[in-house]
Amino acid sequence: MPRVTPPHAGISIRGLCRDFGAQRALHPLDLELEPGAIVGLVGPNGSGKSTLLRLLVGLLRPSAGQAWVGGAELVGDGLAVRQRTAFAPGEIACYPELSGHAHLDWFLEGRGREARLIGRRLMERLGLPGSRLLRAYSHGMKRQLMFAAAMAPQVAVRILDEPTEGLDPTKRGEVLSILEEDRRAERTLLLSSHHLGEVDRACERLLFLNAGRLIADERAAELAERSKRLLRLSFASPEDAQRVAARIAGRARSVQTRAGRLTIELERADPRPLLADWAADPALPKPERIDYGQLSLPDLYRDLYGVEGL
Amino acid sequence: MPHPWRSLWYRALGLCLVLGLALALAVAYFPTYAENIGGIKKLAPLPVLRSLLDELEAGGLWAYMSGQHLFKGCNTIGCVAAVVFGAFAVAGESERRTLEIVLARPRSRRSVLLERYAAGVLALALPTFATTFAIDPLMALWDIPGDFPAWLLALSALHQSLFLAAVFSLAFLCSTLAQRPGRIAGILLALGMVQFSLYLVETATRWSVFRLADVWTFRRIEQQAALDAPVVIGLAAFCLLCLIAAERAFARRLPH
Repeated sequence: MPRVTPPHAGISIRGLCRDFGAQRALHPLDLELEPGAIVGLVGPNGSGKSTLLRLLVGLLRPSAGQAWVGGAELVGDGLAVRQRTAFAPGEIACYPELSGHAHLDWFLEGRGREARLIGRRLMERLGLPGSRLLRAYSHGMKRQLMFAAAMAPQVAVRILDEPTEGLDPTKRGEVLSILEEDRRAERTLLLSSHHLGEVDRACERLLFLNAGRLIADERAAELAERSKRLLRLSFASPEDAQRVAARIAGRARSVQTRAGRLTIELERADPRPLLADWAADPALPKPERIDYGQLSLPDLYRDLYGVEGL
Repeated sequence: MPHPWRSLWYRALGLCLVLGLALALAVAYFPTYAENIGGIKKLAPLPVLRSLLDELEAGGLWAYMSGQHLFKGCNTIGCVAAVVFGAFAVAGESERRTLEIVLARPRSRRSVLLERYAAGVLALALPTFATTFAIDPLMALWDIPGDFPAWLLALSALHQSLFLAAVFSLAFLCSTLAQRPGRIAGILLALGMVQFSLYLVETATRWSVFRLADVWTFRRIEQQAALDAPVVIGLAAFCLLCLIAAERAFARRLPH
């Protein structure tokens, strides 16, 4: 079969999927992440995020499909891909008998002296004691060490699985700042989280996975804009919510009902015309609660896509 | 241990000390043995042991030293070490969840695997050679007259190392296929005990792998001044087959 020329030095995915026995962990996926993009991969636990990331660094073999990472085709054991990619695994597992510096050096074997120097500077910046053994590191410190190791090599693509998991807010902010600084180098950055509030700060594009399927691919700015147009009405009963939904269907961009909750995505950011029209009809049930302009992105995903756990 | 080459030295040194201690005790016991061989033979409960003692008596000093150090020391302590080193080579990383970071580095799986295999084999071969070549100095230390030519020590150590490499290769292959190193080691050690038991049953001795590295084997090396070619080729082929199978299994290995 002839090799296809990679489209760019970012990440290009064509029909990539992965099965574990009879269970499909990742449904066929097509995706283009251009160089310079910072992309957040979001989804609840078990949604397929880690499977996708492991596929992209050659830790898992795809059941079907193909991908190019950093311009290298993902074939065999993915050596070429790993040479152009830095990866921080989601699961913390280290060698407790090594010091922080020794562990960093081991992780960066084959990356050159510059990467080790950058890694040590990052460790200092994150306040990690390089001479202390890893058995004395906390969970968060180990997470930061893995992050420093993944941010040190000057590669085309960085793939980070849950880089802020287990960090306190201060350290999380520092990690997000380092990511922000790294985006200037025109490299592709794909990071996963099951906390939407974190990635929407750092990423310009969000991919939303659920049950192994890509269910949304949106620009973070557009998504934030959408969240401003969300109006949520809570009713005493699901029937009331259904009645109102039937009445306003067609007058909003989308209308979703879940139990007694009605979520409306308005055409524009002003809910007054719709609310006034509705208030004028005394036959329609009145809501117990109205939320507008305060809905977070997790609310948006929960209400629009029906996915809990973000 | 993340650095196979660094851990090689710790493992080799540890094995060397244990084998060396066992050898030193065996050498120190030689004068008592030489004086009491007749009585010891009468005490032997099994026909296999009696024929083994006959062979030791007939073979003289080399039969005793090779029997004590290579057949007894290396085949017991060395085999335990081979099984443990092999079982933990890959499955150990899997159990402590570090295999993912091993595989995430910019190295091919083949090079990771070959490095671990080579380090494991060397961790067995180096102590075997070192302690075998220590026989002469230890004999001198206990004023036991006689010495052995270097070629005999080298060929015998090479043969024994190949035997241990074959045991290691089997454990290594299992390690690339399974998750729990303790279970692999337990099963293989139990299998080893069954094999050793077979060796002690006169009618079943030929079914035991320990026939491939026993007193008669090292006596043949001495008499022919050469390696036992069919056995050596067989052991080397077994190692190679295990390594090829391990490489294939490791190429498809999941991080967890």
